[in-house]
Amino acid sequence: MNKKKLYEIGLLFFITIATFLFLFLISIAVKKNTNRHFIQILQSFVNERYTLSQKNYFVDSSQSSIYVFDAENIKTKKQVAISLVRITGICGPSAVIFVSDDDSSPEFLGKIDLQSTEKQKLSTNFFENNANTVCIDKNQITYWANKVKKTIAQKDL
Amino acid sequence: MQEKKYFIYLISCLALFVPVPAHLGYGIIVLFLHTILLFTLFPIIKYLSNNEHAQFYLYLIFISLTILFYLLFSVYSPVIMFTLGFTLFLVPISPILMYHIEIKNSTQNFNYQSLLKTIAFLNICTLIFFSARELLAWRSLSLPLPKGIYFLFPAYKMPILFWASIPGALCILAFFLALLSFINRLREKNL
Repeated sequence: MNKKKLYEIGLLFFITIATFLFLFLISIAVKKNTNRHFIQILQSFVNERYTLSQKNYFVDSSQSSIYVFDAENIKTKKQVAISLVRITGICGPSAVIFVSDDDSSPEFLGKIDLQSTEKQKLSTNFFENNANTVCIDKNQITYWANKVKKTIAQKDL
Repeated sequence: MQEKKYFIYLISCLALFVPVPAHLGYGIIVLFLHTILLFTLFPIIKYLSNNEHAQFYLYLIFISLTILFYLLFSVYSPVIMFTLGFTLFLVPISPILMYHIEIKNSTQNFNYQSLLKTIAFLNICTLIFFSARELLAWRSLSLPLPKGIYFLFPAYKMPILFWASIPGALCILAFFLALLSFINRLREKNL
């Protein structure tokens, strides 16, 4: 192998490492902001029932589709975990929320990725009843509820 | 032959967008990334066409740009990016296909205007595809906002599930391509 080839391969290697290092550093900077934004959005969704902790959140490294946030039930003052989960149904992926405490299994709250106008919410109850679970099978909800339970158990370890 | 090549390219690109949820809001994001990646082909052709490792650099640039787009757009709307997840990483396949179909063998006398036309045509087709899916399924159109996908008009309480689903998307794609092929034939007859 001549010197020129070695230099080219070295350059390729250096550029690859530098690129991924750059992306890794950006991901660290972005992550804090993203989680803060997530908490704000989740808070607006569960406003009347739960208060989310601003600091404590958990991302399962083996399950990039589950984020767990600590929260408090406003009425009972009990600690709960609010989980944001990506479920792929027949209409493609969608983001949904589960709420769970120590005593019961995770409860499915609904989809979070679709927003509607206040007027629409009042006139059609768009995000209540059936529309909430659209494109997602009940078996899928059960499956992901079990996964969420396992993730929360892992978080508490 | 050239027309056929672009038609095949169009089919493969639109097929990549089938797993994306049936909302125009998601389509706009996917299209935005797609356009950025296609435009990066210009400097790649200009500066790397004679490089032995052009293909490696091409893949590296496309993957890095997609990750960067994912990270930066997460700051704007984390919920949308979380929902899209790995679906977004299907997008770089399309410009890679474009590179292999058109550019790789014609770097010396490459027609930049033709690439621009293709990008414009592809973007219009993608917008029509996503709008048709959302209109048929939800009777509405949506935009990507920081809190999520926002409906512009009152949507159905329950969407027509078939059109919102992946088989429905494939049917719309087939109908759309048949229509394009029909228009193309009519144009050829008139010429």
